[in-house]
Amino acid sequence: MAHIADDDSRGFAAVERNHIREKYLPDWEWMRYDAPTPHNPPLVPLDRARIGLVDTCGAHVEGQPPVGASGRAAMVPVDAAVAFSHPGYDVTRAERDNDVVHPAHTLLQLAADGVVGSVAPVTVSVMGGVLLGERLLQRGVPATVESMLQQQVDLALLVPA
Amino acid sequence: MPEITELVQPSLSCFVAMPFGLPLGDVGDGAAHSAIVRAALEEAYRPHAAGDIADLGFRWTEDDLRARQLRKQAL
Repeated sequence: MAHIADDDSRGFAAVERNHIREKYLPDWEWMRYDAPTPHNPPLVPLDRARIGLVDTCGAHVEGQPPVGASGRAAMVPVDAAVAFSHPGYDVTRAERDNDVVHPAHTLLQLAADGVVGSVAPVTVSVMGGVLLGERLLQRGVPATVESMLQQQVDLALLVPA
Repeated sequence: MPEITELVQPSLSCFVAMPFGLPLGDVGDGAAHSAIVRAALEEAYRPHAAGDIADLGFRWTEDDLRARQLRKQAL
């Protein structure tokens, strides 16, 4: 549980639910889980850890089509020129500075500075505004996990847009 | 959004009171991007119970964008 004294977002879940029901899906509801995912502390010190970047900002390689609401994950090389497609936030800010939502350059600099060991060469981005959560579970999540495992990531950072 | 995070219960999450589309700080604020990312990564090495939400202490102070977004009055 969270005990954040100045959480100004309390109540937003209901606001968002009502918005989605009015605009898109009349019977939409948040997905819920009964128990937390187990917490496994990293086995490698941070300055030797390979960091994997996962985000929900809808980033995709420039010139390639966005994943949209498909629930699929885009595999984006960490040094690629990226574009952003997402209906839930103003992407023009991310276009001006990718690192506000897709901190690839930030992570690479932290690696250069010795704060982290290395950065996985492929980042993973989904479009977080997928109303049918099952699509993410069936498509984006398995691909994300496989990518992190294949790249031998020690610690994955998930950045919500 | 702790309220929404508590529905999903990830192993460990970090709270920053920033606007949608600017979770790591403002455009051009590389210092904020680095500080938030570093703080989140370092939090993974602190003792936590499964499902914990850690307050990193970062708050948006530039303008009322976050407040307007929470009222669905801005994107």
